[in-house]
Amino acid sequence: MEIKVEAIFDTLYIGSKIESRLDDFSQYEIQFFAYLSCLLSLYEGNPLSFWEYSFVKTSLGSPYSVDIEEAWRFLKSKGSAEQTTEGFSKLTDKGRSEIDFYLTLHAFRQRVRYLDAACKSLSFIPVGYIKQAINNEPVLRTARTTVHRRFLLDESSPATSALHQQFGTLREALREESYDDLLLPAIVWIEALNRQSQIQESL
Amino acid sequence: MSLDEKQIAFYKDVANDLWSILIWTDYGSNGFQKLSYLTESITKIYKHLNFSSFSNIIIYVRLEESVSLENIDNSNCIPYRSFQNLATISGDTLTIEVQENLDVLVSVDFAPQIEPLRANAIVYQRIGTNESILGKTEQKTLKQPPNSESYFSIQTYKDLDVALEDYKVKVARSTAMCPELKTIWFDDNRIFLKPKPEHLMRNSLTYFLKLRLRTAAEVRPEQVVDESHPVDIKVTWEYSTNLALIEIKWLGKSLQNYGANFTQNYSAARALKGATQLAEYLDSNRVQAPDKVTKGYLVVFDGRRWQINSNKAEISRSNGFHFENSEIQYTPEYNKTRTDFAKPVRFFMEPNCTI
Repeated sequence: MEIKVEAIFDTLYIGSKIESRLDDFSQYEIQFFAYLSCLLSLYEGNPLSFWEYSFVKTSLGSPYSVDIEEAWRFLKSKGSAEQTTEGFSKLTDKGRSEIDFYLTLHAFRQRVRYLDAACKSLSFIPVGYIKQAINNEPVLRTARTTVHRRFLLDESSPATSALHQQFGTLREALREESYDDLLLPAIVWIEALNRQSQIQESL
Repeated sequence: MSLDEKQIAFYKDVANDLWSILIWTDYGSNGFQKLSYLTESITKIYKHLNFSSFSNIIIYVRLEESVSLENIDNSNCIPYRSFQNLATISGDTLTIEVQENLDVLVSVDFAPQIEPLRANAIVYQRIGTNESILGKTEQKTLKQPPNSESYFSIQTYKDLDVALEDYKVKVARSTAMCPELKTIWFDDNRIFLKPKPEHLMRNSLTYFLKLRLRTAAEVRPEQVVDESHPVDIKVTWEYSTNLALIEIKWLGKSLQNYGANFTQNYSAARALKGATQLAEYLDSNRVQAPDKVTKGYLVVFDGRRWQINSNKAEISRSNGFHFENSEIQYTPEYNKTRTDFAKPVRFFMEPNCTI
């Protein structure tokens, strides 16, 4: 299987951001923040194809991309990342140099905007709350109620329509403020998802 | 109001409550960038600083040179190049300026005037346990996550055993910091439990693990192992065949009214029963989920007190802490005879001793 360079870049970039906060990173965390980054790209109106790789749900309802898994294995096998403890890794000097190289390429510049907003949300919201919120967005919430492994964010799915509807109202709510930092709508959305789930739990 | 209008109003309400939005509104894009830098720095500082020992902490990133700590407290401020060295600082009041080069300037027992500071800096303040981010005229209180001393110091875990050990020491022991556990007691002296406290214990531990276990995809309460076996908490991990089943038991006496009969009176025998029950769950689970590597955890919330009757409103230290180090002798010791049974964990919950 050909390894997608976008998945390699995303794994390195997200890994470095999580590592700077939590000392190392796991594949689960990379998959999760790659999915959040993809959602933020959709929020800004990019088509799903912009992301270059897709996600399915695991049997436990988490987002999973085979391209990220391949990139994860590839980076470990060629020494760009090394294991810290079982299931966790950190970047090597080689891995860091590779990020620096990729960042010089124009092709990844727009991508960084979404990866950055997803990872920087960690500076504002504890990681457990981010996980809780994203597990309650319409697509993952619906995916957890079905048994079959299937593509997430499928444009024909009602759950994806519900997600776009949420993004539309969020854009409208924040329109007057004209935030040029994507992190701000991301924070509002994450906070709103958590509040909505608290309201639902209390009913 | 249409559904969309309601949703828009809801997002606006959420945005209005957020400290990040306050900073953007008051200080613009540059201020927001500094806020991001400030919050990242606070997390790093709180990894080392004994912050809960201070009654007042101010941490800020300046927007104008005029509020540099060197300018406002020149005689006392000390530069630190490593956050690790902040562990040695003690005092009552603490002011820290985080600089662009990641150095920090520290003044102990000095508090700057807030008004000129907030006009020219992005400021975080902690008074007692209340944490705020200050705008130019308004401030937003940070919602303290349950079982954590600060919004910026939530410990995360790779390992369930370590998480349970920390829960034992940091949450279950005093019970006061946890919104659920502090309500399990009949009165403030924590001698008796309220009737049926088990769901509060389960919710407390579930929420603690949910927010903190890094790779756990699911931490779910009351999961059915098979038709007759609901287990208190089930933890499942992604990219792993591991599964943990947690069975919770509590020990002590529960009471509805002073002088009334105890609604429950659970001794160590209850824990032994829990161990047998868990062993049975594990046997059932082996049939239901043969592809999983399952481990069972017996967690015992211990609120036992010595020599008490139902009229007791106060307790001495010797009676209150009688069971503090009284580990339960399990027969059989499943953790020694089976590989899928973890060593049982006992959380002794302290009373408030007033006599």
